[in-house]
Amino acid sequence: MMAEGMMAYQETFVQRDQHRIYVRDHSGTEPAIILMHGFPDNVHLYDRLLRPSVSLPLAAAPGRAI
Amino acid sequence: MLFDFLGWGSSDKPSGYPYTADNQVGDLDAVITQLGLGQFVLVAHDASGPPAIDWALAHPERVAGLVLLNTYYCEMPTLRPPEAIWLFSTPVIRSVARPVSRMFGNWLFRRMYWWQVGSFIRDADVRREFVPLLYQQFDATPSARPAFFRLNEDLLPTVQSRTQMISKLKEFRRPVRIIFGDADPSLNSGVARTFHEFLPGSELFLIPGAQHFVQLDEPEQVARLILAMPGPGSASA
Repeated sequence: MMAEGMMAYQETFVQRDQHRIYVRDHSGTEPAIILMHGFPDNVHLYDRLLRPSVSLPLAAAPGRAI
Repeated sequence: MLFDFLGWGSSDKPSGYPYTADNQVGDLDAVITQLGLGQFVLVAHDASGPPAIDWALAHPERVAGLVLLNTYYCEMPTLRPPEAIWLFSTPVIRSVARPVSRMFGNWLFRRMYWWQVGSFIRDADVRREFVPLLYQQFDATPSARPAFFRLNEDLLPTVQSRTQMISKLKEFRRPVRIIFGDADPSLNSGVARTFHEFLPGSELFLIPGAQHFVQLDEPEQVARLILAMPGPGSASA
C-alpha cells in the first residue's frame, strides 16, 4: 500500500503471546533496517525520513539501498 | 521496517501489562523472529536504546550495524531526563504527578505533552504537524497512557541496571553510528560522546541545531548516515 506522502509499505501484525505488534514493512534490499521509537511516540517519528523526496534519491545513490 | 512496541501506536495495549525495557526486548525479538530476518541494522531512538542494545549485545552476529539516535542506555555524567519525564519517573514525585495530570479530563497531561514533545522538535511547521499526530494514541481507546506511566517507572532501574553492561559495550565489535541532534539538552552531545567512548570503533555524528527528534528535524542527514553504514567487516577490532 502507499500512504499519501510516504514510501510504499505493507502493514502487518506480529503475534507476541496473545498480543499483536504492528509492523510497517517498506520493501528494499538486504540488510533490513529496523527503525525503533522511544516514548512518548510511535512509528510516525520516522514519517519525514520515509518520504519519497528524502529516501528515494538516497536509495538510488551509490552505496546502500533502503 | 518499523514497528510500534506493545502499548504504543497501532499495536495492542493490554491493560496491566509490564511495559518495561526488559519486556521490549521480547517485542523486538518477536518481530525479528516472525519476519525471518537474517542480518539487519538496528536503529534506536530514545527509550528503544536499552532493548536495541540489549538485543545487539546478545546477538552480535545478527547485527549488520547499530545506529543510536539521541538515546540512552546506562548512567552517564551528562544524561538527564526531559522535565516531564523527570516528573513521571521520579519516585514520590510521580505519585503526585500522575493523578494531577489526569485532572480536568487529562487536560494537564495534554498540555504538558504538547509543551514537552513540542520542545523535541526544532521547526514550528514540523511541530504543528507531528505533535497532534503523536498525541492521538493518548486520546485513543485503549490509550498509550499506561505504557507511558509504566515505562517512566522503569526508567531509573533500567539505566542503573545497564551500567553494569558498560564492559560489554566495550567488547562490541559491530559497526556503530552515533547520530545525535546536538541541541537536545537531555540526551545531549555529552551522552553521544560517552557512547562513542564506550563503543570502540563507533562513529560519532553531531547534527548542529537538531533537537531530540533528530529524524524529524534533519531527515535527509539522518537517512544518508543510516544508508551509508559501513559493512560488518569494517568495524575496527
